[in-house]
Amino acid sequence: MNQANITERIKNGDTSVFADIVEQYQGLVYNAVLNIVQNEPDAEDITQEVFIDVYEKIDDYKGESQLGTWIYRIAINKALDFEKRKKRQKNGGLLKRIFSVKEEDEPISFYHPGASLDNKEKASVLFKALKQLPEKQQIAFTLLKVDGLSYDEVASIMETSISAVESLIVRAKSSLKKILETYYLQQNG
Amino acid sequence: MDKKKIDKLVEETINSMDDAGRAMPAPFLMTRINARMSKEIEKANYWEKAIGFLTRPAFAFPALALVLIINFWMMQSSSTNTKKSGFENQLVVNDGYSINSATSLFDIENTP
Repeated sequence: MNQANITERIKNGDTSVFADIVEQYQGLVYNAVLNIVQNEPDAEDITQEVFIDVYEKIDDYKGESQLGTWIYRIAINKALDFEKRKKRQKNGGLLKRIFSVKEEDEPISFYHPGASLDNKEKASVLFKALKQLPEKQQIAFTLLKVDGLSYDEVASIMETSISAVESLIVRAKSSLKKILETYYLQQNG
Repeated sequence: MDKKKIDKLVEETINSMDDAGRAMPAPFLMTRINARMSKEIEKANYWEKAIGFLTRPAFAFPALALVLIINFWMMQSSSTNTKKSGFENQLVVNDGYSINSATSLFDIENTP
């Protein structure tokens, strides 16, 4: 797809180019969102919102980065906003916390549809552990290890340097090791 | 479980998504996006229409005039009430301190 005239074509009402964008990037957006929100119906909703945003904000795309990178950024920001909103709703206000019965924790198991059958359980444990990482470490690890992007691509999406991404990955792996060790020790008594 | 086994398990867990396939959204995503966009456009149009009606001179000027008339009427009626209520207040005070009742020397002497 020639990225140079995408904006022009959408502005001129060429809906076919938007349909092409959706077709080409739906998997990428859906996976990026799903890896963060870890819930399929929510990921579907957010994916739709991402493409609506892409359509409405296409004027903001100046072609400085790849179109995919720009779309990735929108997807990740939307997913993170959703997570923050969910956390706020869960915590609620002071009165809600005082008067409401303590809610049970949300179901912990998320089975990624792309995980192989042998690794389904382990992947589920990994996703649970990922939720405990700081936001940037979680994103860097997910983009690199789950979405299979290169360091260069991750750096471009996160608008940072490759060395910063490397550092985030090292710290993410170290934290994950600690979390998983504790988890497996508890599991095995 | 020994340390080596746990380390192996941890390593396998960290790498468990390495060979994972890509998840795909449900089919007809574009159709659903189009439906959602038309719904949002409809919603935006509704508000545009409402704002358009409210700002139309044929509605806006009479509405403004009505507000001013009500305002003027309220001010008028409140100033009349203030005068009236001033007199009423005096009566209440008089009553309270029994100023008008038979408390003067003349009244006491002439009370049967």
